Amino acid sequence: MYRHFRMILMLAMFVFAASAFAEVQCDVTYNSKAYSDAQYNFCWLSGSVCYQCYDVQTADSCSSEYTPCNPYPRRFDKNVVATLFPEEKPASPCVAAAFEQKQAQLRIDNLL
Amino acid sequence: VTLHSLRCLAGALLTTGAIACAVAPAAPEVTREPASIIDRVIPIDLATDVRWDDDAHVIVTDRRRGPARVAVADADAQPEWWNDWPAATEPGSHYMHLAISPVYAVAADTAFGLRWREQRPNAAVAQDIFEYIADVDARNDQLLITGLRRNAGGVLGADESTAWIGTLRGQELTLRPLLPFRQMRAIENCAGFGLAAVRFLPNGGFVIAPGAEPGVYVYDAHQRLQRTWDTKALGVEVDCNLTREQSALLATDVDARQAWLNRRRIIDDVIAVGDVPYLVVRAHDGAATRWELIELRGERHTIHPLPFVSTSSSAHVSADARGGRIAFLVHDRAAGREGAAATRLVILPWPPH
Repeated sequence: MYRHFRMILMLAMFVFAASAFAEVQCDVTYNSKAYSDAQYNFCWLSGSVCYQCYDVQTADSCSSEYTPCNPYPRRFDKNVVATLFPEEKPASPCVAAAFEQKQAQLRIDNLL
Repeated sequence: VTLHSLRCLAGALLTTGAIACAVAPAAPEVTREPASIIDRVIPIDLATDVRWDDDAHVIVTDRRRGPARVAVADADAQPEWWNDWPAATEPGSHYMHLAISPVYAVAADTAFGLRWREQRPNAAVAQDIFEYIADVDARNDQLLITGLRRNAGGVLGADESTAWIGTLRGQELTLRPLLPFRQMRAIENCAGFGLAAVRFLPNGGFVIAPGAEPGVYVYDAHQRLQRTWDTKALGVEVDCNLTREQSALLATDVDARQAWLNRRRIIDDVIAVGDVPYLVVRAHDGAATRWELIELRGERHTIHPLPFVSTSSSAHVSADARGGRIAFLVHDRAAGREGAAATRLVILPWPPH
């Protein structure tokens, strides 16, 4: 009885711990730099390697140079680096590349 | 003891202009500040920019919702939102800069995109891409814009320019370079800091203040440079030659960026009163944020401390002049975060009586 209870408790703890880790996706733009203000963040301009990372479930995101950043605490809204307008017109080749990468990932996600 | 310092001392005792006098460069005349006629909170939480619409209304942009028409004198009137302008969603679609002419309305994000529309019913909203937009202005169908641009091949700053003029007719921008940058890296380092401003003058000329690089440039209606003002002589600090580490920190840490700005006297905006350009200069003294107008008339400049302050260390001002009055939008860049100050609209008669 106690052994069963311990197994159930461990399983519950595992499920709880697994649910705390969100799926984080990062887009990389080369020769670009990170920018943030109180409302949004993105990669732009030149001079570095910029990572745009976001929680796939919530679309919470942050951008950071050199190292992918922790997407917590919660930011404001969906923030995808290469989506510019409803027509999704890319601003530059590097942003376009990130955009294509993201679109491909989304297609894979949809297929799965 | 100079006449200037006596005037400053008197101003400090009587007004809110103490800090402006304390840091002002030598020789300028400091005038008595004007009386405020309107200073009220407006219900636009994420306000970014302001332009007069007519004698009784201004247009104010909320960075997420878009432009709204606000009655200047009627405190009970609600903003009338321009519903045909789509709400912001992602970078490139926020409403950070506004320009209004009788023919066109223009709104731009700091990065990636700007929109414009003819000022007639059912006109379509056109849009184009632009890497970094520091400020815009419009006169009839002309657009004045400053920032950094990619060429068709994606190369940033290929035309070595940081300001352009062009037409808003059509669905794509046609722009002509006006002002070359000295160092693109300096412009990039301070991109998104809100240091630059451009404004048309009623005579068709215009003013460009790059912000990230020294100088204020005044052009005539034929787009010929008429005069360059030395920002150092105006008491405005320009130092965007940052280290790589500083640049990375200030671009991504909102609080560090604001603290950096608060240690400097910066240009918040440029306006035109008649054909005379005025800089709206911001300074933070640790307790309050204050502004002054620097009038650039002929060969001399005159400093006018403004009679309003903000206790918020992240308050900034956008402004516009019309018919003997100046509208100041006092907005908090920390809006949306806890403790941010409410948006205020201040209307002053100008010149002061």
